Amino acid sequence: MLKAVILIGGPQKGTRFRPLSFEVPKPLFPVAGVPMIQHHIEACAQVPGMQEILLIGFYQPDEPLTQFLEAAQQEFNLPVRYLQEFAPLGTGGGLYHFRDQILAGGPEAFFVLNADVCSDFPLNAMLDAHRCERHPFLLLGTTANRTQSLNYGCIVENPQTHEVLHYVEKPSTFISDIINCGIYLFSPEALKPLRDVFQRNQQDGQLEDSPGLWPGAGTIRLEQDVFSALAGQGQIYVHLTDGIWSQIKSAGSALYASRLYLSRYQVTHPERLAKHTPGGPRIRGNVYIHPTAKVAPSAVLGPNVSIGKGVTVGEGVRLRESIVLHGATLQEHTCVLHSIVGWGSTVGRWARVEGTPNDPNPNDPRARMDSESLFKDGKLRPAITILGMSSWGAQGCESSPAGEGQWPVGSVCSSVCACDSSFSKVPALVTKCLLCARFCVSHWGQKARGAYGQEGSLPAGSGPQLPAPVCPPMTSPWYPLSRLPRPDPC
Amino acid sequence: MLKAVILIGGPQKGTRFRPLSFEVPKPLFPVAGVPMIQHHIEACAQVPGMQEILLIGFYQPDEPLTQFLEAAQQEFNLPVRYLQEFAPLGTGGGLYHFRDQILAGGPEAFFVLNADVCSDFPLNAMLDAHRCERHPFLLLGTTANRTQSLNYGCIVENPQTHEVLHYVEKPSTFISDIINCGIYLFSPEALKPLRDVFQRNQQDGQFCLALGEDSPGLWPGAGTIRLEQDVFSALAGQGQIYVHLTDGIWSQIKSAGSALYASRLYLSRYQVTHPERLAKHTPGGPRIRGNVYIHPTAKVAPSAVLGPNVSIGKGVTVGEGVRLRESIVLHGATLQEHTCVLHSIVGWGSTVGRWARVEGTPNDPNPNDPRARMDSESLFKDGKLRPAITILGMSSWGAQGCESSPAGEGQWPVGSVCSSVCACDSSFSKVPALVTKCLLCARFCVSHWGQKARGAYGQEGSLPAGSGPQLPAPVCPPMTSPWYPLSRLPRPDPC
Repeated sequence: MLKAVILIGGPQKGTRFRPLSFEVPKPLFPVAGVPMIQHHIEACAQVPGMQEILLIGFYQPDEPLTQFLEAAQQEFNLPVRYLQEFAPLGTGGGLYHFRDQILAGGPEAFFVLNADVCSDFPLNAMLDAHRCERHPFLLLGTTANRTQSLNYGCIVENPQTHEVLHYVEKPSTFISDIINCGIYLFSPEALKPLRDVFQRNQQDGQLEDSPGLWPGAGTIRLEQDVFSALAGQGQIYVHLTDGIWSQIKSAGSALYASRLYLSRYQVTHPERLAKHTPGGPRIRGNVYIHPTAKVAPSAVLGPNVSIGKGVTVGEGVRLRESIVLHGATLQEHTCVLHSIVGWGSTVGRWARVEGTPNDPNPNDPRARMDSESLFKDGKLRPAITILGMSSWGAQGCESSPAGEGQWPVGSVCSSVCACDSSFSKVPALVTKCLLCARFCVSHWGQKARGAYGQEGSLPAGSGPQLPAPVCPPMTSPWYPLSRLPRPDPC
Repeated sequence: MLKAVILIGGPQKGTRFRPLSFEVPKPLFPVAGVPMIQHHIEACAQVPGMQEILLIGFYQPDEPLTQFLEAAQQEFNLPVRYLQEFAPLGTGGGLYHFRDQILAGGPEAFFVLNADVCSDFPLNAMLDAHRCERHPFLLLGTTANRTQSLNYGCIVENPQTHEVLHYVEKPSTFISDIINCGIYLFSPEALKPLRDVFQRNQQDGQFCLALGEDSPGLWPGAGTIRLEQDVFSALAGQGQIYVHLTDGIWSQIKSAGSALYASRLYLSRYQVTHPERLAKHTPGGPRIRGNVYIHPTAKVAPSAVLGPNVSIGKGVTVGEGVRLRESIVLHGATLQEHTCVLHSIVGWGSTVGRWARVEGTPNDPNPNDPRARMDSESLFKDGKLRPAITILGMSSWGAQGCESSPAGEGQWPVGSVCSSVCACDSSFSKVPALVTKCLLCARFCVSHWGQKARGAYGQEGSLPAGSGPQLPAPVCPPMTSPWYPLSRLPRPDPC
């Protein structure tokens, strides 16, 4: 009998995923057409002997989460339960706190998966390795190149026995090119070291100053407190994989993960991939289209496009490397590249929306996403474009011609503020940075070019003035009121 | 080193406390001027060696609860932490689930208090009894009369050793006149029997669910434990459970009427514990009879007469000539001139119009019997509401129900009088009633239209002539309280 535990975090986590994590909790963000953790649950449900899936996190259970749980239970015919922590307990604290629930029924072993990873989940291979030689901890590992491995948890293994000799989380110098995937298989004995850490933390007492946390609460950081401490003592082993893997920390990585999952659909869910039908849009590469979406026949979609529920795609639209979220509308002849079009947005006719991809080097199979911060030297790094979500559209600038997520005819936008004045890649008219809500004006008066060379005409005249930067209020219901952090200065 | 655990329940509990528990979680309802559990925390803070107070419950932590916790920490200089259960685990399940947090630091023993009891909390006496002879479980017991003991947990004790020989929760026939107060002192060994119950429940797992415990979020592995049935009843007579008797004040707070009675008990205790909280007659101030609590921000006219057993909340305005007795006035309410409020709770932000007489039916225990306790009976009997104290409209309720009512949000027309009993009980004729609104089922009733209203001192006011509002169809109020997690909203009860 086996179980799976998915660590879904809480609203204080996932800050790099903003502004998308304001609207929906990150584990429920749709990647390749389905919520992020549905890929995990699908993979777990296919392991023979899986009895129960437990989600551990700190979100308050709200409508979307509860509906997702019920839908998952019905679809996979497995109990899927949400165990809400009483305080943010870290990557290991929840496992220890809910050990009774995890060990109920006497499982032989249990998988532990981080919600924010994208993988092909070789769970059966891990299980076979575990059954060959049972150890308390089995980590899934993959390879990264030398520079990028510094961003991950690095594992030094014994090549014959596969024991983990050293483990360092985000080292400062190169240690190993094997990195931790965030997917584990633990046996019940794994909880004893967790208990030791718990009791040791209580005696040491001092803790970082977090609301709701105190020494007795029981925060445990799995990577630092357990893996690093126990490495080399014959308890932790690693299983290597060369399948797809990526971590999903920023919005751009969600797009990359979408691409990886869509390519996996060729094998696992070919029915989810759209095919060209007479009277239907032209499909290039891997594309997911929700059954309720309306796509015009002259549109060209792909590769790596996900169209959500109830989306309308007009004539002559060109979509590439993008996610269109539920309820959005792309009017005629728009061109959306490397972008995420938010819930309920409208992209006006002839608009060109182009972001800057941050994908890993496609020529290096071991290249991974860089998990860098959003800002560099006080400026935003160029990244993919995230188009206005309706709860954001009304804020910021009163003088903007843009309504709630609507953009005027011929408008073009990019995700980079005019603070980076050397950016001249795309002829830009009205620009709104959705991370700091600054409006920018550039190149007003140029002709817009559609993706096929069609030309549209732009209204003449002066554009909107540059208003003062406005940081959007954090009014997301996903933030428990007492725990709202202070807004970051932009 | 000692700790205290207060079990505060969750929104699915406290249904008998409606409609007050729609507005605020029951543990935070003000009794004798302060939130219900503040009395518990004050008592715990006075035990020497108390290190930490833990609240265990199922409420989502909202502004009021979080603010209360912060205020309590500052006032008592003790950590006060809220441990939110992931599912409603019963009276014992939370203790077992959070055992790590309870036992952190190695306490010698820990108190366990139910939030919905009113008591003088003889914690030091219990601690002395425990230190004389250490046992896993020490219950606080008190006495009830023969008929009423059936409503409580009954304890049969050995009169010399005070061991609990039998424990039966709400027996069907008389067993003992010693009842369980809901206040316990456990030593760390008490968690072992809880673990046994937990593991046994898991094995019985499938069986339990079939018994109809249809609660969302519950499954055999969740770990619900009923302290009274699964632990006390099972372990009685095995030398583990002992009882300490008290004859101090005690009452349980299940219905709104019992909140009023508890308020009276606490106000009388204030003579000893917090004399500064009791109002005294000052020149230019209102006349005070008996024990009265007035919040410092309340404005009370000098000609008003208050008491006994009156609590006035924050920002309340009491006009000239008002007579208040056996009542709680909640924050922000206004009592206009010459109103008379007896045996009632005036809800947050309500206004009682001039010359109105608001009178409820007290359900207090027989004052001549010191062992009499509140009856914890259901709200309805034979399809009719039992007469009970009046609860005046809270603003979120005022706009619902009847469109033809002249009453606005909690406001009553001049000369209106109300009672808490619907016209469904047509034999009720105690109070001349004009506009009546039952706040449990929102039915409006008309009776005795056209009579003169009498103030409490015999003043006469005049009433508008004409016909009163028609009787509308009963309307059950929607349960839109933010205290109910959306997915767990129960279906509304039919009125």
